Amino acid sequence: MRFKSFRWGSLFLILVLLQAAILPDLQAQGGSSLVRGMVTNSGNQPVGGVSVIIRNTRNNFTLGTSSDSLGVFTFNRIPAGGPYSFIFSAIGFERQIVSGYNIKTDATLSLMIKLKDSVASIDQVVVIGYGTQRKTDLTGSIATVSSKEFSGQAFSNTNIALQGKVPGVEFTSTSGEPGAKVQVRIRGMGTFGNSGPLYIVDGVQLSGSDINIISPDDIANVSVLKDASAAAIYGSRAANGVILITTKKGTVGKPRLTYSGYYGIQSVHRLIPMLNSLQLADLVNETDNNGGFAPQPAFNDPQNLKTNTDWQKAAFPSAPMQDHSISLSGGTESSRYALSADYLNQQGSMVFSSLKRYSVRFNSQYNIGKRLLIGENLSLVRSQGLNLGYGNNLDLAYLLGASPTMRIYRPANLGGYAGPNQAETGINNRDNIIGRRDNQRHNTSNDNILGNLYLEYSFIPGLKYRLNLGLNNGLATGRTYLGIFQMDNRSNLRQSLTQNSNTNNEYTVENTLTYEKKIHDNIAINLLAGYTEQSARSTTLTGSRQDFPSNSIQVFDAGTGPSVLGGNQAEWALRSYLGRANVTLYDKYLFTATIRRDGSSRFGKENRYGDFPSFAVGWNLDREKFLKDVTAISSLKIRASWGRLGNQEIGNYESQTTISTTPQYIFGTTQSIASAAAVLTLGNPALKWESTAQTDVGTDISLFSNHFSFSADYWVKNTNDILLRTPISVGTGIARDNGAFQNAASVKNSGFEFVATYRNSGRDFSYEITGNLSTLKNRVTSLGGVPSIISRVENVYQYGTFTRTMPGLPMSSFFGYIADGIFQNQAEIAKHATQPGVAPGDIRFRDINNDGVIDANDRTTIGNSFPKFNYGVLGSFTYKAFDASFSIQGVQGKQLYNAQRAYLEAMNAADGQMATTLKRWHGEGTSNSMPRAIRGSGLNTVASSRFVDNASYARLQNVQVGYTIPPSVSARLHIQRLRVYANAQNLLTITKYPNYNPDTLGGSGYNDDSLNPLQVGVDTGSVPIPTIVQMGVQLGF
Amino acid sequence: MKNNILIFIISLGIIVSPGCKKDFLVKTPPDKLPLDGFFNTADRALAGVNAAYIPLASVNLFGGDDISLRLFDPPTGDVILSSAISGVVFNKFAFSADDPNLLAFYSGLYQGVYRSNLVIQQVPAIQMDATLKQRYLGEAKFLRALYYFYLTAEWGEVPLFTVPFKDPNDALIAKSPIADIQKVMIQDLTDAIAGLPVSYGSADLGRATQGAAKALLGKVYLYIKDYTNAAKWFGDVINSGTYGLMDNFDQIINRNYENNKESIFEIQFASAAAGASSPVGDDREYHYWPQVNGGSSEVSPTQSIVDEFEPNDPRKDFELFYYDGQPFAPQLTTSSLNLDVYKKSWSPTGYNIRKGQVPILYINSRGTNYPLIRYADVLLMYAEAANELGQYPDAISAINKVRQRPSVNMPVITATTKDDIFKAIVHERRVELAFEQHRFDDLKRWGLVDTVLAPLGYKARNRYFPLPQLELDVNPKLVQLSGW
Repeated sequence: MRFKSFRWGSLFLILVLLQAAILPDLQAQGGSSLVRGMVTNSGNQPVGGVSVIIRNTRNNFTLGTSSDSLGVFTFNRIPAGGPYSFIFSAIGFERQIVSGYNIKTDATLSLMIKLKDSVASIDQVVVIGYGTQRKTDLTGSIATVSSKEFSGQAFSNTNIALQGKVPGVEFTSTSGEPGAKVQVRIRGMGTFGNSGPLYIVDGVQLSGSDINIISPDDIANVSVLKDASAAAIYGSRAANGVILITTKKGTVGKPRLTYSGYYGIQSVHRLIPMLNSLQLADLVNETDNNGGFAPQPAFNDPQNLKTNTDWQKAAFPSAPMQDHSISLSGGTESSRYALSADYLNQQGSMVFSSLKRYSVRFNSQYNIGKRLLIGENLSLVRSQGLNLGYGNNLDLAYLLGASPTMRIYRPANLGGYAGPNQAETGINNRDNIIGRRDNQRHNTSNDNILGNLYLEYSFIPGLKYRLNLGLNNGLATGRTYLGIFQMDNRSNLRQSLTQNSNTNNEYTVENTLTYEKKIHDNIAINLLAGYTEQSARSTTLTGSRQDFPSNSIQVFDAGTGPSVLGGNQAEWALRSYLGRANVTLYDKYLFTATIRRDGSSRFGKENRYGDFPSFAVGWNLDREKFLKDVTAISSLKIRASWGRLGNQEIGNYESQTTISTTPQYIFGTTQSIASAAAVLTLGNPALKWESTAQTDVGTDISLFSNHFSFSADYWVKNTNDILLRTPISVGTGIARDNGAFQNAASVKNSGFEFVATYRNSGRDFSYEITGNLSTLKNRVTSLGGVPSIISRVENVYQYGTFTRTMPGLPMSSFFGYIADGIFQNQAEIAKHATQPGVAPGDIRFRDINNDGVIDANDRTTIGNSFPKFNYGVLGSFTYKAFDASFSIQGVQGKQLYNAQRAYLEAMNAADGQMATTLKRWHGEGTSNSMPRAIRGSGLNTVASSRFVDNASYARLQNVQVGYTIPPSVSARLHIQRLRVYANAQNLLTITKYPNYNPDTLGGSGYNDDSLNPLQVGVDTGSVPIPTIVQMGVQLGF
Repeated sequence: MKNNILIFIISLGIIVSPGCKKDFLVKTPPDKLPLDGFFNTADRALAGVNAAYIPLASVNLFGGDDISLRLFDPPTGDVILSSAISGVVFNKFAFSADDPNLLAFYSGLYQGVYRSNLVIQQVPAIQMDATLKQRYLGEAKFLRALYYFYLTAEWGEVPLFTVPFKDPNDALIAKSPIADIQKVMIQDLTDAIAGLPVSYGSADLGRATQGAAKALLGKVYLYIKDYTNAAKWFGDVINSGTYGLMDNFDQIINRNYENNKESIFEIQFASAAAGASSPVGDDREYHYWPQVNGGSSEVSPTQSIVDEFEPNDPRKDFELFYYDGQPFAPQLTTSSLNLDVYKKSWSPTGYNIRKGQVPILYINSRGTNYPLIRYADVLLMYAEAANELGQYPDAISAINKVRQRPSVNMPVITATTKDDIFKAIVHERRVELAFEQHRFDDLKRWGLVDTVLAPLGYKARNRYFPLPQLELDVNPKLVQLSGW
């Protein structure tokens, strides 16, 4: 049983001999020879990092090497003779042995090895916290995604690459802008603070979840630690799950040079149908008439009604993007290195935005003697953005709310753009967003150094000390210049320049001791103990100045007007003790226990330290006698874990109530600033850790010689003492949302996760299909005595809404009235409960409490954004030299409060409106869902079920087709490998959702991946995610 | 060799671990001090007092985007909000308890109360100059009374706090009887009058003065219909000789004539020169000015207020842009932009507010001070109190002073009976104090609100604003006003 997969491996061995002469009857001679070979996977993709051992079975001569990133391995000076056998092993593949080779003197032996993918191969190694572990020995729930699953796809954010591939993890885009952050929720939302996971890159924590500083090309694999057993080793920061990223490393062999690059076009197809000039004019005239206002000349001028500016078309032109990456790697037995450089240039799908990213990575590792190992990873990244983060809901309100009767250009104006004006746009005063983005340019740049230096020392076999020094230094700067321009009514007659910089320095020191020992044939132990410290400091500096001699002069020193300066600083520190024990008995019974003790500067003295233990057990059932003879089962494991995790994601200084001297007032004739001292926010010295207890039971099954594999998990996460700023009475004199953090609430998340994979391969083809499905149930179980928290979510121009979080309901449930059709006539109004101010054509709200009056007490829960389930389907196929892959990702049973639609169907002014308003009520029986148009009325846009939309969707996330030219051709061209491919991302989305992005969770910002969990699910507008079609090349020398 | 490496590693491990530092986990805010023990010097007392002024200039009350613009004049029908501004529901009494503007205004007032309370609680124990201490306490008490004045005028009974909270839950209390709150206001203002100076040096202009406290005390009495005391304190202000009317109506609210002799208490805004968001300026200009000048014309005068002016009342030209060809902002005219004269088409109603806006600068210039109490207002309130007390000549004389300001110079009133004098006061206040956010409270005080504003949708419940729903959601002891 134990070696069954080996047998399978040899059965599936596909050996290609390029030189017919090299056959097992090679003669033994006295000199030395060269052995070269290439390792590919079933999809003909080269596999790097494969351990290759050559062994002369007669004299036990043994030598090891590993394949480089092109899958090529080389043995120089192999003594002639034989028979030799070769053993190939790598993470994620079945071990293969080929044997029976005799090697002639001065001859070259070439091997082509195709490895078979293995889901549950006993040698598969998974990256876990502070180490690695064989997959068979795992007791935790860890999902891994390897780079081959997103190779060649175009994206500026690695999280997008993971979307749909990891069950139980929701990746949602905040915006379609280049480099926009992605909200990641691992197993639901269990906190009212930041719900984003912890990112660790090669042992160094990324600050602020800024995964963007890692180029996707540099990633070798990603491990998502989902359950407590896996994550608890990260203690206080692990409650939201942990994402471990391992970057590509050098492998033994001659220097290898590779190039990969693509060019693609992004285009936005999912536009919102809007009214044209004539249709809007009709609406505005009706609006004015119903509101008792005189008609506006602008909307009755035949000339204007022909303008028909399509603002969406103008704002979302096709935008190119390209990426070029070169890597060099190699190594010897005692040292390895890898060097890579990457250049990304992406135009934003919204006009006047772009992202350029230059990154360089270097890592190397040296064995000094037999006991000492020293190595480092270093990455330097510079990214430059234009107008990024300005595609927020304000810009979208300008874009969509702008009148189609407004022109884009007016050459007579300084700057060349038209703008709103009484003659053409009436009371509609929305900016010309095209002109505004051109005239007001916001440039950002980010420089980041991320790296670590490590050394390992083996005292005795099995006992290893590791010192890891991590560094994460970032400098982010921003610069906004507003020149003088004229856009009709929206002119700017005064220049201003604003610059800011934010320096972030984080240091990590980790000391760990590991001890690995097989005490007895059947008892294996693996122990880890560690002491770590982490500290961070960020410093901000901002300045602005007005009035410059010319629009082209854009530095502070040249300014003539007043200037303002500001800045601040913040620090935090974390000190931790950690330990882990893995015990494996008879290769069947697995036990893991971890403990971490964290001390954080963010908590008061009394509760500074927290303890985070976890326990897990696993049972490899397939190794039991009673299953040994069931040949259908390749492997079968059941596992269970429990652990406690923490969360310290609150501000840095929340344990004290402090006096701020920032507020100022003016006195005197010179209008000098008088210092003031005020309490702005409250602190709580008794704050302690938020703790999450998570239980997970799961099973991993492989059937039919690993052709079919299946995993299932059920998990329950109970989070208590949630750090929460409960809204306070404004009677205190402190803003409602600025009360002290309290350990107030409890939330329960639970869900199922399933993954099933089927793979098969024949001589010329192979394929693999994976499906995953996860469910999530989120319930608030306690709010510490507070009956409910009602949170107002602001949206541009008064179309905000409310969410209510209360025990028994999902967090951030939508709160409002139930829209119950439209009053068709006065009689219906008279019959209904008293609803102040309404007339026929207005929305009828349900009298929930049956008191005959529609008032605040009739608001109720009207939905929530938690989906019933998330799913993904991934497939990959190869046929001879061709390969293809696709991924589908979807969400079912999700709702969003579409606050943007509230604005675009308000019909109470002259703002641009959605085409759906064509079906508005204009007399008895004309509509029972779209109310009448009336200027100045807010009655129909109050928070109600009218704007709760079904946001379920299925998306064809990615399709790729590739062709690798045959080795015979590439050899003639003196290259190792050449693959060309075409890829399409976000090709098709099936949804009923009438706004750009059904996958959004709300929030307004590019940088906002820490969306307030009490405001989740309210879509205030975000830049649409473009479709990307690209062609690419992967080339190896 | 092996041992050397080992020693090297161990010592490296020790060197790089800053673990020996005991205070590694102790981090204090670099920009703030703990509240406990903060108020221990005269300078810090002053900083506390200054903080109590800030809410006035904040976005919650009269500064920034200016919530007060929505709450006070639109319900009277003197101005109408266009749909681009939030709060259009205040046009015709369509607002509800959910309205965020109401919560903001209510919060802003209590913020002022809290900061005043903090000074009143903390400052007495500070070792400092006794006169100065009395002044600081006087300022805080004046401000506390001012904030409660607005709370009681707009909401009636509200929770009363006279000491700062220890725990936020201390704020979860029921409403106090209005008489209790009035008692606190009267005592505060009496103390303030005793502690405050008559005037300040130029560096401290804008602080509460004795005159301001007297005027506010008179106003408090006027609202509780204690006309004797109202007339007494207004008379005190008038007879003090400290204040007078500005000759030129254009200079009453004018960025070049701030804190003038007519000003009794005004909110201090920074001019554009400061260029920053803090301290806040006021966006009144932005909301008032036509789009052509970078404004939004979102707050526009109505026909109703235009019709209120007597023929030939020069104040119509001072307070309104109302005809094509009226001089506007010639200094801003450029080759492509003609701003020499006003065009009615710039406004949704055909009118724009001119009062307090001249000289018209480019939009980013916000920062004109905003008067809460000015001398003309005191004269008219005095007239009201005197009229109620039967002192008709005093009332008439006060009204005529306002009408005969040199630049206005309207004929004296002819009224002689109490009713006619009252009518003259009603008219005079509407015209003289137009767009200064007094009329809604005036109408309510006079009991005229039902009849005058009924056509706009006024109902009995509109006597007060509803308590903010979000506040009711937090504080179960708070009971909504009837009708809401």
